[in-house]
Amino acid sequence: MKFADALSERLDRASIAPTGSLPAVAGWRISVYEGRQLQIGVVDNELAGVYSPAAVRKSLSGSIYLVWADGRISNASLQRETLSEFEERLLEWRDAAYEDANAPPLLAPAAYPEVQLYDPAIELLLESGGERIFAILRKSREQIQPFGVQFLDASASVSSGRSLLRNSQGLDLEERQTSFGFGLSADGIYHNGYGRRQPIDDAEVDRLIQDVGQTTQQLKRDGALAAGSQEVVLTPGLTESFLGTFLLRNFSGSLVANRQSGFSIEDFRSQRRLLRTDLSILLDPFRPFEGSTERCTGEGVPSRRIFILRNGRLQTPLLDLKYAGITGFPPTTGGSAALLPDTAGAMDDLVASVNSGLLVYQVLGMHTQDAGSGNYSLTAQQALAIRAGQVTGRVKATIAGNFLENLRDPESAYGWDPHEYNPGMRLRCKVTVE
Amino acid sequence: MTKTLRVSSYDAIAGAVRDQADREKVYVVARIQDRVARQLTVTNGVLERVDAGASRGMGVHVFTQTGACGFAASDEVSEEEARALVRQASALARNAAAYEAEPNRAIFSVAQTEARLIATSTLPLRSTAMDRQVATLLELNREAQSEAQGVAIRSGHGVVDEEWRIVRSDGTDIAFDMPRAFVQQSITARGQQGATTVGASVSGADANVLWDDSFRNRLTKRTGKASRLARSLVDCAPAPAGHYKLVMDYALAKGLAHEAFGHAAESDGMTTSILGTNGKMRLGETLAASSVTIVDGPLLGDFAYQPVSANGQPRQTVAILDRGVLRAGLGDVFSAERAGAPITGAERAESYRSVPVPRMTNIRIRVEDAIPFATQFEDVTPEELRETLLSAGLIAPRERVLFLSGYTGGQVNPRDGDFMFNCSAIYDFTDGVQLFRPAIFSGKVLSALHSIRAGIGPMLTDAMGHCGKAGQSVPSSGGAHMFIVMDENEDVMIGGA
Repeated sequence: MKFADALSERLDRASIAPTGSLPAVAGWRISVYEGRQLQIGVVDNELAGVYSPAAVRKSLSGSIYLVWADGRISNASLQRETLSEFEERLLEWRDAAYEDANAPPLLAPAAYPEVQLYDPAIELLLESGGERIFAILRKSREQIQPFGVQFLDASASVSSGRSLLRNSQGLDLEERQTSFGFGLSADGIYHNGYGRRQPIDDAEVDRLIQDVGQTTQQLKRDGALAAGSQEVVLTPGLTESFLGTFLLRNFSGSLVANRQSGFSIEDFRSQRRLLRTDLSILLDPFRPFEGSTERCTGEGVPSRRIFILRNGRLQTPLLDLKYAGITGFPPTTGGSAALLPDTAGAMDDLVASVNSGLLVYQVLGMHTQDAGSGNYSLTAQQALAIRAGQVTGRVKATIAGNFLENLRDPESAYGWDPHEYNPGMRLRCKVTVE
Repeated sequence: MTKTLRVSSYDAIAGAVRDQADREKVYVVARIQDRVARQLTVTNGVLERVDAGASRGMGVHVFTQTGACGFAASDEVSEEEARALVRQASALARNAAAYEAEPNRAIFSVAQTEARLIATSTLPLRSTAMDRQVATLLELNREAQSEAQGVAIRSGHGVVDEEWRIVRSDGTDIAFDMPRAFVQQSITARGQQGATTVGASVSGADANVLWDDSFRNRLTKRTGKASRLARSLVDCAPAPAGHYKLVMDYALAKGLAHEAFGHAAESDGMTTSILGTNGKMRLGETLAASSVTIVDGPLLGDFAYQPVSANGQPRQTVAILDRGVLRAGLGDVFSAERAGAPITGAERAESYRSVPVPRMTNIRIRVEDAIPFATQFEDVTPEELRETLLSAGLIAPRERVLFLSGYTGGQVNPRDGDFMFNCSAIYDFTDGVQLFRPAIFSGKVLSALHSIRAGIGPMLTDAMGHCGKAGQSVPSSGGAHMFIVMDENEDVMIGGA
C-alpha cells in the first residue's frame, strides 16, 4: 500500500532525525484501510431515488499510535492528506501527546492465523455498474408485494479494499477484504438482512424476502395477551442485542478496571459464577467470510477463540493491551460473541413450548438502558402473542425485568435458527400490554 | 471576530465541480467537509486517553435533466478528483435511469443562495491549548470524586471543529462552520443489584464549556446531583407500570419533542408518517392544546447548531406546531413539495459520504402562560417542585403523579406513531416524594401532544444528544420550560414492574 509505505518512511525518518524542536519518534503503529464501495437503495418503494441513489465511495482512513522519545504518546486519525501535510500533522500529534503510565507496548511480529476475508467475486460486482444490485432490489420490490407490503425500504452494497497494520517493531500485515450487505424492511414493521464478505446468492435473497414478507404479514394481524408475568421468546437477533447491552458491555476492560461495570475485576479473578452452569460465551474471530473475522486485533494481538464466560463462570474481561497490562489478564481478541447453551432445541420448538406469551422481534429503546444492573424496560414494538404454542397476532407491549436474572433462571430455554449465530431465548418477565 | 474557514481555500475545486457538471450536462450539489476534533477522557482521577481526529472529503450529488441521480464521494479533495467524482456520479445517474430509478427534479427549481460565508467566532480547535483542557478536566473529575465517595467517575470532553462548503450548479457557493463541544460526566455507584450509572453534561460551541464559569458551575451542580442520585438508585425498586399525570424536566421534554413529534414532521417520511395523509402533511390540524408551540431551528452556540442545510439553503427556524396547530414540517428540497410543506432547509448529512435527509437541529416546546419559577434548575429539589405544583394547582394532594428526571435517549417509529424514551430516575409525588428506578415512557405521538398541559419556569434549550436516522448520526439538541406537566392519558404509559 503506497500510502502506508510512504508514511512508514516518514515516521522512520522522524525516529532518526527529530523535526525542529520536537522529540524524536521512539515508536509507531499505523492501521490503514483503503477501499471503494458501491451502494444502491430503495426508500418507500423508490429505487435509486434521491435518498438512496446509486453511490460510489472511495476512502483511505486509519489511525496512528505514536510513542515519543520522552515517553509521551499520541493517538490520532489518518487521512489521505496526512502525507502531503506530514510536518503539520506531526506538530498536531505532538500537541495532543500525553503521559500514560499504562501506555500499551508496540508488539513484535507474531504468527497470525489464516482467515477468509476476501472473495474475488465482489470485484466483478463493483466493476459491473450495479447490475446485480439493481436486479436484487427490483426482485425484492416485486416479490414482497404479494405479502401485502405497501412500502419497502432496502439497501445493497458491495465493497473491496485493503487493510494494513504495521509498526516500528517490524509487524507488517496487509490483507485484501471484501464485503456484501443487503437489508430489507417492510412497512417499518420488520427487517432482516445479510452481511458477509461474500456475495449473497439467489437462494438467500429469496429466503430473506420470504421471511420479511411473511413476518410482516403476521405482524399486521391483531392479537391479544393478558398483562402480567409472561413467558417471552426473543428472536436470535434480539437475544444478541440483549447480550450485547446487558452482558458484553459489562465485560469492557476499561469499565471493569475503573469500577463502572456491573462486574468487578475480583469477579473475574475468582471466576465468579454469574450464570447457569450450562451457559458459555465464546468469541470466535475465525468464522469464514464473516464481518468480525480477523487475523489479529488493531494492536497486533493474534486472533484466537476465547471463552469469556465458561460454564456460567466469568473468565476474562475484554482487554486491549493497556487494560491487559492494568488487570494482569492476557489481552483478548475480537470476533463474534455467541451464547452457547449446552442444550437447545430449535426456535420453532421454543415457540411451541409457550402456552401463553409473546414472541418479540424488535424492541425500541435498547440504547437507553442502564447496562450495569441488567435491568431492562423496553417497548416490544413488534411482537406476536403466543397461545398454545402457536403465534397469533400482534400485541404492543412493554417488557421489564432483569436480563442477568433471566440468564440465571433455570426455566429459561434456548432454540437455534440455522441462519443465526446466537440462539433465541425464552425467558419470563413482566409484560404490560398497551 | 469571525473565523477564517479552511474550506474557503477550495475556490478552484468549486470551479472544477461546476465546470465538469456543465460538461456532463447535469446539475451538481457538491459538499466539501473538513472536520478536526479532540476528545479527552479522565477516569477516577487519571487521564485515560486523548484522541486527535481529522477528516476531509467531498461528496457529489448529480441530477440529469430527467431527475435521475447519482452520488460519488472521496476523501481526496483536489480539482482532478472533483472532476472524477462528477463523471462517476453522472455515469451512475444515467445508468440508474436505464433501470427505471425514481427521478426527482426538485433541485432545478430551487433559488440560488446569495450568501457566501456564515462563520462563527468560536475558539478554533487548533488554538485550544490541550494542556489546559487536560488540567481542567482532571480538576473537574477529582473535584467530583472528592464530593462523592464510593462512586466511579468518567469525565469526557470533546471539541469538534466542523466546516462545510456547499457548491451548486446554479452558482450557490456557501461556506459555514458548525462547531460544538461538550463535557460529560458518567457516575457509577454499586449496590446489591449491580451498578447504576447516571450522567451529567453541559454543551456549547467550543472549549469554553470547560473553562467558562457559567458552564462549570452548572456542571458541578449537575454532577453533584447525579452522584447523589446514582447512590440512591442502586437498590431502588422499579416504578409500577401504568398511566399517570407526568411532570418531566426540560431534557425529557426535548426527548418528547424529538421522538414523539420531530421525526414524524420530517418531510421525507410523509408518505408513511403519522403526521401525513396520502403523503401530504396534515397542515392546519389541531394536534395539541392551543397553549403549545413546538419550534425547531438553529441556535448560535448550540451543540446542534446548523446555519445552512446540506443543500446550501439557510436553515430556517420553524414553528412546526403553532399554538396547537400543525403549520409546517422539516422540509428539504427533495420532499417538501410532495409533502405539501414548505422547504425549510432541514436537510443534514453526517459527513461528505452521506446522502442528506431532513433532520432536526434544536427542537423545543413552549407553553403559554408558563408558571414562573426563580430557582436555578440545578438547585431544584423534587420536594420543591412538588410544592410548586401543588401551589399552582397543577397537581392535587394524593393525585397519582410521577416526576421523570434526566433524559437517557429515545426512539420512535414515525409510521406507527409509537415513541419511547428513558430517564435517569422516577419520583412518585402521590404522597410525598418517593424515588424509583427508571422505566421507559412510551406512547402514541398524537396522544402525547394532546396531553401537554403546562410549563414551569424559563426556557432551557441545551439538552444535548445524538440523533440516528438512515444510518447517520448527527448532534441533536433542544429543550422546553424547566418542567412540563402532562395529563394522564391512556395512550401514554410508564412501563415498569
